[in-house]
Amino acid sequence: MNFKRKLVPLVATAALMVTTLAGCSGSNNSAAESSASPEGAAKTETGSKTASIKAMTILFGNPPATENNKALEDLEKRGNVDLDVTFVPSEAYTDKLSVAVSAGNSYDLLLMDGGKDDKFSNLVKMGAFHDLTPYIEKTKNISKIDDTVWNGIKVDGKVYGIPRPRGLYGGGEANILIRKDWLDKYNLAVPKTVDELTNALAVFKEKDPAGGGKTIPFSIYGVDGINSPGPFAGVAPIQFAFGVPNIWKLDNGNAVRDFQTPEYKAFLEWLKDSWSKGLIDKDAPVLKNQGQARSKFLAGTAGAFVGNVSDMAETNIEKLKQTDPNAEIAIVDVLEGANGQKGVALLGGYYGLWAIPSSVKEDKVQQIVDFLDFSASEENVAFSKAGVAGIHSSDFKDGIAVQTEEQKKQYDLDKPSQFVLENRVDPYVYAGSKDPEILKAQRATLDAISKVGIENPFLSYNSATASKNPDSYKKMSAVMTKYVLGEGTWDDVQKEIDAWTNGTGAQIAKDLLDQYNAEHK
Amino acid sequence: MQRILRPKRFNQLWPFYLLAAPGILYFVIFHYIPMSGLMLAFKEYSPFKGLINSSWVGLDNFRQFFGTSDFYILLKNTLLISLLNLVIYFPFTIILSLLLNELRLKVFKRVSQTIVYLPHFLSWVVIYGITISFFGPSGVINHYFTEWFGGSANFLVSNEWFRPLVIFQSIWKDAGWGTIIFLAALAGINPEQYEAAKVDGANRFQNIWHITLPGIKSTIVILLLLRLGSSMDSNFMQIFLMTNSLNLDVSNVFDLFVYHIGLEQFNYSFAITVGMFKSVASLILVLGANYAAKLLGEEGIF
Repeated sequence: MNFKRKLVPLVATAALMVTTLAGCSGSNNSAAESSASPEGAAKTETGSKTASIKAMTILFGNPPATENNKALEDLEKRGNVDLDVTFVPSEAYTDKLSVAVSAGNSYDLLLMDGGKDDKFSNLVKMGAFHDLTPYIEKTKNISKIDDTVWNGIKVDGKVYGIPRPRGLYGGGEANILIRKDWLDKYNLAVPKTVDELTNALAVFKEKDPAGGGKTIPFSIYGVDGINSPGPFAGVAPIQFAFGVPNIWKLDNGNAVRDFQTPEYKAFLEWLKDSWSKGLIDKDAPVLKNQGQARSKFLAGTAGAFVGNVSDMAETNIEKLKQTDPNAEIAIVDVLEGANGQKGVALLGGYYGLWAIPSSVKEDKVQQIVDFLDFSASEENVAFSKAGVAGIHSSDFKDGIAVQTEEQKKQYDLDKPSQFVLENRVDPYVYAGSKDPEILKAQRATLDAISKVGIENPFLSYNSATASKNPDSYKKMSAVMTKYVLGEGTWDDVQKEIDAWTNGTGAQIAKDLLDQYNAEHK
Repeated sequence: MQRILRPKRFNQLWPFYLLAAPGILYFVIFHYIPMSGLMLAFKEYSPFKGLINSSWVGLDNFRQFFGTSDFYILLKNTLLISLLNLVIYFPFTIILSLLLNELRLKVFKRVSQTIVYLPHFLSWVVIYGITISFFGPSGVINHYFTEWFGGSANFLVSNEWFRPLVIFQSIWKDAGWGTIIFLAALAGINPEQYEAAKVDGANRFQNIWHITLPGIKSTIVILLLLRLGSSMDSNFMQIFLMTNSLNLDVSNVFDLFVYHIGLEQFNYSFAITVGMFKSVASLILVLGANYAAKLLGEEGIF
């Protein structure tokens, strides 16, 4: 009886799992209902008829209000579009994207959150997306994006996705954020070197400012070893202070991976030493992402964690002040190592690519690109920060919105910035504070890190070997973590590194070098 | 009565066929037609070429799957977790239902039943959260461990503890829920048997051994067969949450593999290949077990 039914669902284990996951994350995303009337089309530049665009994008935090959203109405009116955006929470995004892609014709615009990775390149080769090269030539704002960014996202010399510009330097884990009030309490300066940082963490450990032995000097998180090696993530500034390369470096024409360098060993020694002294969160190996490490910091128990200037926002400080009214955050712009090494990752300069599925009719492609171009216009920079004048703010001065409490509440509800799908090129994109003091500090930090970018020579290349062996770092990650935790010897780690170097590693390095050499003849 | 229920010709039978039609159609449309998707296991599926136009690759996907060095590890991990569930979790539910059944005070029995059902309604995410706060490196248990013995136990970050914890979680969450069917079967045992045994001088344990257990034997066999059928499935949510780089050796199971390779890499064909392998293996397991049950004189499931 029941058995016969067993046969049936075997068809789509995959599909089943997607539904499970999507269901579990509780992400019943109702798309923002749009009800813009075509009357507003009068004053638009694109003229002609209203384009209706259904887009899917990633969401961090709460979604914007779906009903009677004045910000959305305003944007639709000015952009002459009928916008239907599905906001998918970041935890479930990969799965939803996978479903959206396989479903074919449901969206006009998809955000490929991984950028130009193996998945994206594979999809392009399958013919998934429109070639946008001819369409972007005529754009006013999108074409301002840096050439290095464009070169990084091209597949076979063509543009298949429009990058969402971000800072080129550092990314989401650029700087160490540290409790300024704790430092002050023990007469410590904001650390500038690894030694000063280690010392500050040791003082936090000893003095226990959070009370009850709850203080976690440094909050980082574990990696599952499936997609990346290394024991922990959320350690980038420290790695660079030890002189570890940004994933890869070129050495006399050879590709060298970070963990193959002696600097990496020195960095692991630091981790091991810090772990044994209790400076690192004991829970780190079971934490799964930056969000969990950050939440320990915002809960007032952790002394430091790695984020970027956008974490210095007022909302975070307010959250901290709920547990400790004296709480203050300081940011370590650039951490320096013993030999003066320092840096932040020089990245692709974008987060996500807007791709138009090939199922979308050709005459609509230009309309969609035009809307993205309109999104990236000067007027929408103001709109994303200040919303609609009179409703979300009363004025917009020097990049800061002037808002009453009432307007601020409405702004947080409608979230105008979420609907500006394509942002304008802006090196200060992470500096979003409304407090002039904080904004100044944020900009200063961004200026400081823009001078110490460390390049990954193979950033824009993909290795087919790596994509077929997503498990290749698994064992290495495990032995490295064990080593740091004091449960294994360096020989175990060296053995895994050697195994990788002589096995898949050699092939991956070759894949990347071939592409590099082909472009740098 | 018998005669009316056994008419011979279609013109007498059609009302019954009509009644069955929606059910039959449901199975054909929603369960059998989708099975055509199985052919994707033999194709290099591209969502943009569609089911029909994707190119055939023969047994390449299977070769790749069986060829990975991970295959035997995956098989071992998956089967071990199922086996442990079978020999620990499953008897546990039986013992629990026997215990509940022995309760004589009606009110107390009802209340206890409800309480043991409750954890079933918690999501795995919540249970993982509870697990971390108890067994995590900075959890309650380790806190006292350090205080009393000076050491700590790596519950969540070692290979050794992964399986015991997973089984423990399953029991904690679902053992109460698992008693429902057994309790129903227990309610069906004729009380006169107990009275007769009492007259013959049987004590409580003899009652359980000679009357209760034989009374629910067929239920036990059927549930065991059904569990065997799903022994290639792991509880994805549970395993996914419990995984970290320090226990991957024992926690990597088929479902996790499908997720990482099939979904995260958009490799649909490969995911279906693994799914198909799992289903065929389950089918063989169930058929074998069913045959064995019949040999032993039990009814089996068909």
